[in-house]
Amino acid sequence: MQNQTAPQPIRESGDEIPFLAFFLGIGTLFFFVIAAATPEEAMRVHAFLFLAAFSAGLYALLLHLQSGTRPDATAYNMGVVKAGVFASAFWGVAGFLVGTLIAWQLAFPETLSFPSLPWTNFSRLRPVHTSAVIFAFGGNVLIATSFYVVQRTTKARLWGGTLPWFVFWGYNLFIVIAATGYLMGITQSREYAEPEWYADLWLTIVWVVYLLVFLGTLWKRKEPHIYVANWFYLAFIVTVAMLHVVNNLAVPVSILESRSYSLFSGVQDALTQWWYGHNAVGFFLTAGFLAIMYYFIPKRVNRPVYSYRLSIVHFWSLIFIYIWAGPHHLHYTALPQWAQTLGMVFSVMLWMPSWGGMINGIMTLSGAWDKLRTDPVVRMMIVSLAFYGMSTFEGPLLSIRAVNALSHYTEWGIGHVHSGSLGWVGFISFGALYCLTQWVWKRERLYSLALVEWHFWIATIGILLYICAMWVAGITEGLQWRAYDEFGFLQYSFIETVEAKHIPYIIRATGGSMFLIGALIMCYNLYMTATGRVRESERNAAPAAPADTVAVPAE
Amino acid sequence: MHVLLSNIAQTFGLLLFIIAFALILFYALSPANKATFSRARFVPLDRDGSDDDQ
Repeated sequence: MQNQTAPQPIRESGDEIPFLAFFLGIGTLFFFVIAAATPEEAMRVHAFLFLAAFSAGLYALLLHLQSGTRPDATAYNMGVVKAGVFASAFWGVAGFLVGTLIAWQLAFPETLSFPSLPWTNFSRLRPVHTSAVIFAFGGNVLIATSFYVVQRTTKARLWGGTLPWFVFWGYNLFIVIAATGYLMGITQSREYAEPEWYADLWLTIVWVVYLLVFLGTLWKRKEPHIYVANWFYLAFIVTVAMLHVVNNLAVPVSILESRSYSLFSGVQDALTQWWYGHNAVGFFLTAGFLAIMYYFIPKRVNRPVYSYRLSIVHFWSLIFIYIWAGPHHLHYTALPQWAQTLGMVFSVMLWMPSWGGMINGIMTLSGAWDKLRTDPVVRMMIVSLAFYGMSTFEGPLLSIRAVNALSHYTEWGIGHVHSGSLGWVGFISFGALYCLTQWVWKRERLYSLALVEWHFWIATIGILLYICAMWVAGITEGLQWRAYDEFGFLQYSFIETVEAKHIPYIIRATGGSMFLIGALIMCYNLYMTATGRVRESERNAAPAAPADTVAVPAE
Repeated sequence: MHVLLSNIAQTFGLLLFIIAFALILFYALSPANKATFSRARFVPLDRDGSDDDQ
């Protein structure tokens, strides 16, 4: 901020520091006791991890107090956003790497199976992949962008002093606990909610603080209107809190052991799990990333969002409808048919708000379509919306009971998920990371737009290979499973349907590897941008998107 | 439970959703809010001279 005209800037109070120190101190003692008393090796490892993290937190707090500096309370807190960009890039590569590894394991199960190393087993690495890409990569992108966007659109510094840092480190500690747990064989076997009770409790604490930081910043906003991106972020934070708490209601065997038992059983358990699972898609992987769309696309192309009214209808209809769609994961199960039909109908209805949002994002480029050609970052974000449109059309289709009879439990589902996650979530996140790195480190341009082009094309072709291979594999095995011979026997044994997928599996793993290579190119580009370098051959070219441009006047 | 839920769904549940949607449409399309939304569109593009992020 303009410090020249304000010689005595208001300093942050630091009111939260004693509470934080007390909490971290108690936590350190607590995990010291757990580490000493637990009979379980894996739990001891986790207790030590918590112990190390809490003592490091205390030490960092001490250093902060000792330095005696209080940040200017009127300036934005961008340090935590920078850390978020770094963590996102790191976890992205880690998650894609594990995904690629298990894709090759499926293609060559005998070559890539190591029975003497249980942690390399597919069943342990698979949740590492899903949690790393969804929660570690996606979560860090969401935390970093939400902290950036809420400050810029409210014109207020993040509330809570050091608490945003607590959210950042606390969340990443949760990721480490979750991932190391899977490798050691700790899981509660709920898809996308595998971490056990103590990790869940820890995430709950972190998430509540995240909500408080976000709400606190909105509360002290200097811009009277709360911009639509913040609504999407808030819906994401609030709903994920609700889903996480309800789905993870469980009773631990003992405070010293990792194992717990869910409060639900039977079909209620299944419905709770898929109410959670599908809304993790709806509110973690959709609402949060739509917030990114509503801020980063307008900002990058320097045009206001196509229709603000449509964004309001989009928001409310999306959040009202998504929450009902979960039962479509349980077609032809013990779930009552009326509940399956309910899930199906709401999933089909969901097509409308999804496409309304996609159109709103894409049409923001009205009058600036040339940017698709000149700015590969914009192209990446617009193609992400194309993938969003495609997967939100495919989703309702797959939710129809008759279609689901063919597609469910086949690779078609995997292909669908990845067109959404690689295409939509991945590309909009990459776009946001390119923008954030340029803006937060205040660079006039990225290190290289040519490298963004490379990233874009390698990753796009990789995604297409991936999803086409999975369509072929999924429909093939779906048809094989239901094929009967002239005597009424199943025509194919199960292993024959697995063998049929060998070539598609190789193509899929190739596509995934290309996506990983693209992400590595991005990391190099981001690092070079952050350190302030511009590629020699691009030095004289005009920047595709100036670091900051004058807003166009209102209509 | 099924009877209770289907009663809600078939009576005021459906009505509630329609009313909620109508209210949202009214809020979004009301001419009274036009000025607010026209301004709100530009919030991400606003420059307040405070680009000196920390």
